[in-house]
Amino acid sequence: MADKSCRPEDFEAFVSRHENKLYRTALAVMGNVADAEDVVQEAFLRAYEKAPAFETGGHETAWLIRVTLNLCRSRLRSPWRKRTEPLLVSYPAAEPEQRKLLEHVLALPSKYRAAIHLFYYEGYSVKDIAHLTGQQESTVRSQLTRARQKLKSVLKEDYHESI
Amino acid sequence: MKAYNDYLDAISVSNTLHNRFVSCATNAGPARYLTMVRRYAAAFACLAVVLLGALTVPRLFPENTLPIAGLSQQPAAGGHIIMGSGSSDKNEKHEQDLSPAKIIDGSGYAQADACYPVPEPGACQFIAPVSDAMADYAGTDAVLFVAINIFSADENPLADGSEEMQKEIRRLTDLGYPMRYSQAWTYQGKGEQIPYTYLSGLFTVEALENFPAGADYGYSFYFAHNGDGSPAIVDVSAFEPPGDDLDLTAAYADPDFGAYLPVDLPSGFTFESATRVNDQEKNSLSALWIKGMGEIHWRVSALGEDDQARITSIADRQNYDLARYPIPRADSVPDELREIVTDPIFRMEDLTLEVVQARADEAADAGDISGPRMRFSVLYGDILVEIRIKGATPEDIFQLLQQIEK
Repeated sequence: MADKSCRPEDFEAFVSRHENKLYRTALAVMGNVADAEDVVQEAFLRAYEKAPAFETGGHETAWLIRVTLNLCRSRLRSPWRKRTEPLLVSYPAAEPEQRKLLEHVLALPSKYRAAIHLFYYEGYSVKDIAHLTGQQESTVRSQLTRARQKLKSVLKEDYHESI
Repeated sequence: MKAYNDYLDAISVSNTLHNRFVSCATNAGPARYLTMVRRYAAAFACLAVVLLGALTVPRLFPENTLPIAGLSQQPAAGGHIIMGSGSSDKNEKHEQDLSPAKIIDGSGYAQADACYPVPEPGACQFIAPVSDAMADYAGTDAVLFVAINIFSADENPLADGSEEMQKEIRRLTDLGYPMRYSQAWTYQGKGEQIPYTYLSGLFTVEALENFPAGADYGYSFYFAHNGDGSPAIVDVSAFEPPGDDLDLTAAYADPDFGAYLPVDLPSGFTFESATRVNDQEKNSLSALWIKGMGEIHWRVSALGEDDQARITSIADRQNYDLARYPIPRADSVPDELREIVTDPIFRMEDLTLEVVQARADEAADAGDISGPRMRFSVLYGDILVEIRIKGATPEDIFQLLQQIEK
């Protein structure tokens, strides 16, 4: 049966608390605005419907990120998914260097992009990312290593950073 | 990664988008409730469909009414179907030429990303992708495979299998709008795929525009999708006239098509069902073997005029080599090749293992078996063998096809 409903009384505040984080995560994984918007909308819809009980704010955030990543994966699996305007067209990079890096990041496989985003942008540890994505820590570590190898030419300052 | 972080820091959710997130969640009550009900009652729904089918199929196919015709991309012998009349008199029937019938599902159309109010009684609502498709195919004979929600005046959806729903389906069927329950799947828990049923129909744009809405109900038309966003598969057999179920021995003994069924199936595959259809519209023999979630579906019929366009030489690899077309194929397959790339027809004398391998699409969907999926057809003289494969290798299938040497 369904879990006990713990729907936030102020759902708008709940959305405000998480929307930017989820939107950026979805953008990083999907690589375009239209899909990212749909994914985040669906994630909030699920949060509204399921209204699970969260012990902490961190738990709440982790649940939402996990749902968002799962929805991204589902959408990416669809063979007939219609790609729309690329991310860099919707949100142009400020400088050539930034554009170059983003082009390289967006060219990575989506699973690498998810790992890169959660590690570098969200600041999650490998262990946290493994928990969020449902993968082994060694898998996440391998994804990060391979992603950084692919980004080697544009990731000068970070390349030797340990994970 | 500072540049990456700076880039994302500069991106934030706009007010419009924020409002969409909030309103879509808080306003999606009835439709989502329906989904939840369907999700948790899937097992019951499947049973209900079987019972419903047994009880109502005879009533849904009046003797003088053809069910949807020409849907297997074969030429409909008469090429006509009884469809609902125009708005001038919605209680009359008229015949509408539906040949050749091209089926349009949600492929190539993004899922609806907006919220919609429940349609008022007497009104029809076409959710954005359906309305887009209607615009794209207006004035053509293309047939849209749509899902339908029927709402009562109190804005609640009619329950599947309820007396009210059956009565309304019967009314629409009598007006030439046959409907069937179809099945798609959604996710539950950690990637578990569970089936759900929905009311569906195959209609031309003209038929949709003239849909004979009842005064007591609101109707919402949309493209059904699976949990991973892929379009729900058109179960053409559900719209086919009921055929004769056969056992395997009787299927092999069929004088017209039995010899075109495979004999030595790959290890583990067991016979599930076979159907013979032979009426004014169709003449075919279908057989299904399964192995867990794997399946080998074989359909034998005479080559139709509409099939001719899908016959390809193996030299024309652009017509069938899936490796040339990365996913998403909505982007990579040119529109003019969509039909032939989806289901090419090879002459048996040309067929090689490499060609079969070129039709294999690797899939690793959670909740389903991994491994290749294949869809193509093979021509033995003027006999067409259409195959749909899940869970068998190209080598297995090539061997099966070679068993049938004509």
